Amino acid sequence: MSKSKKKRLIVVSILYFVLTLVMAQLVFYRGINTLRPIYLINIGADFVGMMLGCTLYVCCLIDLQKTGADIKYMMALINVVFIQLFTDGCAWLVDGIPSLRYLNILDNTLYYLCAPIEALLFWMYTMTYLKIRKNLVKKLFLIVSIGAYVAIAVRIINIFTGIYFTVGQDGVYARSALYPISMVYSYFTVIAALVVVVLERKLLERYQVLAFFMYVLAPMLVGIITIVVYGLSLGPALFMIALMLMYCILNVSEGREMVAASRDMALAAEIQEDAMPKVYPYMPERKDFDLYAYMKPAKEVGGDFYDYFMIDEDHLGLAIADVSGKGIPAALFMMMAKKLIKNALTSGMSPADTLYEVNNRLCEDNKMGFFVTVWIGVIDLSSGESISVNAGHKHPVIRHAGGEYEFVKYKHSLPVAVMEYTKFVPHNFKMEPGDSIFVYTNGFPEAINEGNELLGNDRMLEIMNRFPVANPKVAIENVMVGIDEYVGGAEQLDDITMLYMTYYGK
Amino acid sequence: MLNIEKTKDNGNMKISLEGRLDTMTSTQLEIEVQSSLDGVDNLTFDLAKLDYISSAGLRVLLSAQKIMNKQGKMVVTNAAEEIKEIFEVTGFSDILTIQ
Repeated sequence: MSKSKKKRLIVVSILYFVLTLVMAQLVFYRGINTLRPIYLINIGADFVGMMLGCTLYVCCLIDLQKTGADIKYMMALINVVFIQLFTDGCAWLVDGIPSLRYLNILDNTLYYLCAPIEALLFWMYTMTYLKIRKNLVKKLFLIVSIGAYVAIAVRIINIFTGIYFTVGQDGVYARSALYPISMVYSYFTVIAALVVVVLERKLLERYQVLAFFMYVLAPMLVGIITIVVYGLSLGPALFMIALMLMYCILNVSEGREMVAASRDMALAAEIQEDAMPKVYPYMPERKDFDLYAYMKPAKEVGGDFYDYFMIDEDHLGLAIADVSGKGIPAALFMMMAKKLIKNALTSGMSPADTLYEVNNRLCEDNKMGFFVTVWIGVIDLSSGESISVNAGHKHPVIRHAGGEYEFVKYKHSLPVAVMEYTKFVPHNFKMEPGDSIFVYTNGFPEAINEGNELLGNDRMLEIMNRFPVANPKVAIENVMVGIDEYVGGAEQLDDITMLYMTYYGK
Repeated sequence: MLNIEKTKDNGNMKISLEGRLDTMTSTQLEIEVQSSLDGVDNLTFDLAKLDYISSAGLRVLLSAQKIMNKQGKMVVTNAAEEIKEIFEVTGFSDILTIQ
């Protein structure tokens, strides 16, 4: 646990402890014998609720890393319900004592303030939990926040006007005729939040939907059961119990899912990482070419891959690809595509026939609907004559000896695994000694900076041309420097994968 | 960040997208699409406010197209130049109906 967290833990624990002690002292001060039994039940329930709140808060604090942003609203909710419990307990203790009249007003005002704040936090918790960013919900949030301000303002005005409650000169608290109106905002907000839960129930398991409803159902049910018992107030304690249930069901399950998901991601990343050759320098005994490849994976694995291998003494095979998908299924699909391509090319098939075969194989059993954009090339190292096929992949970049980097655009075929029996169109080109070819995945031109702007094709060439001519390894390192400079602190959203080959000839 | 707006009128459904359709947000669209295509015979994607589409996003469009091939038709409308270029480069302009 971090230092600041420990500090928070200590401060909150002491605060909770002191408030509980204050209430206990008040009970002692009033004398148990003079309190009506029903008050004692209420105060007892408040104590239990406060203890629960304290435990729950500590749980949330320890749990913070595992669960989502919603937990901070959960923690705020716990704090407010705790204050509500405290003020509820105290209200019974200060009631009917003329000398404590002002304390009584203050206490009840605080108590009244809790409800709208809780409703607002419940709304925020729910929306963050569901991760909803719809416009309608944003608009509703505006209404809900304005409503909260109004509700808070009216409660403060109440001190002077007594529209909701008054405390008479005898120190006795009494609800005013307009009291029911004070509940309108909370009910409206909480019910609105639950309606959203129902509408978005597809995102949730049934027990999770029920957990949200507990927040309303538990206090309501008990209210109905105890309707005949005048003066019994178990509401705040029940809120705390409902919060505990919500925490156990919603946040703990969310935490478990996140742990599982991050383990899946790590595994997928490992599959992807291990699949790629990383031996440099590659074939140092050969002086007719040099190559280097690099992949910088994104947080959520994208399924990029590169590959290079000798087909025979004279032919070099190159491949770069991007599987549309993420996680273990995409990583396995990537493995399969990579192996099939290498097998076909090393058996002597032409690039176009290779993709024709690979495409049909991958289409056979592709329930997830993945596809893969691929560029493959075969370079004849003795003559420089080359054949490539571009299946929906980005335009390769070529730099002729003494020239600048530029895109080579030619007709693209469909990506692999989109449609059975797709025909792939080969493209013939010749590499002269000193020429370099650079292929990459969309992570490069589609990187975004802090202003959310795409790097784009033009800037991509500009970055490549900025640096002096270098060997493949240095060239890729330079490009990465250029990308990092552009991206700054923005998050990397997609894998960045690159393959660079320079042909020196005989 | 992706906003999805669906309007359904008998067999006609229009899905308007706003923001980025990438690896992160494509799952969101996939769930929306798969859960609502029943009984739709005319599906329109309005991409007027879409800034970016990645291969994961293309995959969702492709799977929608495959479903719609069986039960009706699907068109993609109002795509910005940059999005159209992605359709061209990836060859998707040959299998999607782009207007």
